[in-house]
Amino acid sequence: MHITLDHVSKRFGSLLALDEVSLEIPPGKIVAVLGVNGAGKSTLLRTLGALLVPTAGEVRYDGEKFDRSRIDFRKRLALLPDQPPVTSGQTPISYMAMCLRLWESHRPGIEELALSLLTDFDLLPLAESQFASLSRGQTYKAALAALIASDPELWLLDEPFAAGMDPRGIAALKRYASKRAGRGGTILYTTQIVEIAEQFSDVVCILNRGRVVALEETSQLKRPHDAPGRSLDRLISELSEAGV
Amino acid sequence: MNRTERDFRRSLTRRVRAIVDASPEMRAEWQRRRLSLRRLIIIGGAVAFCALFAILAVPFGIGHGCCIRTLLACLVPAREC
Repeated sequence: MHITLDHVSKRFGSLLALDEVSLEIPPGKIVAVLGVNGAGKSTLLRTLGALLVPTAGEVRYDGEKFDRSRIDFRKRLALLPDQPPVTSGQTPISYMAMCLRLWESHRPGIEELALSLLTDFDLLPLAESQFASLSRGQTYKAALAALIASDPELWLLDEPFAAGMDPRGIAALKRYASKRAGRGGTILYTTQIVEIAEQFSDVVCILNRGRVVALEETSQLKRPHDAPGRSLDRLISELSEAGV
Repeated sequence: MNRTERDFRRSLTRRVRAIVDASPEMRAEWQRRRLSLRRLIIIGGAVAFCALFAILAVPFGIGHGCCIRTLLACLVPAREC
């Protein structure tokens, strides 16, 4: 899915959370959206997921204007907030079944995939436990497994690496995300951890005070310090010092 | 819940249980969680019973000196309280 943001702004009262954001993301990329607290990362993700309506500007998917009424596009994406939208009485299995129905993703081999996901995310003994009895990390892993099973083209993950997942869950996320990107999917996640963005992304988008201050291939940013490219750490420091 | 969803849930649950049963560690974890759920049900049942008793006590005029026999009598409408 080709993503285009054309001068997108989002205002909450006097707060301008997104300020004329314009960017293009081709399919098959893993994009890390980096920024400090309040930079507009979650607002950007929610706007892309149609949870928020832009105050100005336009979001386009594959060249077509996207808004909340476009169910066809909404079925091709999934947004996972840092607090997954599960109810306490649901179980990982029932939640996954519900997501598969909502995304109309029942297909041959889905049970095998579901079992692999439950195994890889270490959820098998918890598969019938209610979310009320699961930890935050376990709940996030279950919601993530359901998202992966639903197989949307665009994954919008809000702070997945700060959602309490264990190393096994993080490794599984990276593996499945890389596979999906290899099949033309787009993975867009927010993070504040520079090392993760450096290691696990094709493109890094840096937001500051609602503006995109950098959108570069990660390989460019990882060049040696004396080369024209800059390290992410240095870039973030420069931005902080400049007060951009 | 439509049929596909229900079938998927049932089938996946069956397969998960088979895998869990085959692994002693996973089975222990699953049973531990099941026990805590059972404990929750017992406590919930006790609270519901007390609440029912409190609700019934007012219209039937049961005082502090009531006993189980009185309570049972109240729960059976044919008998006088």
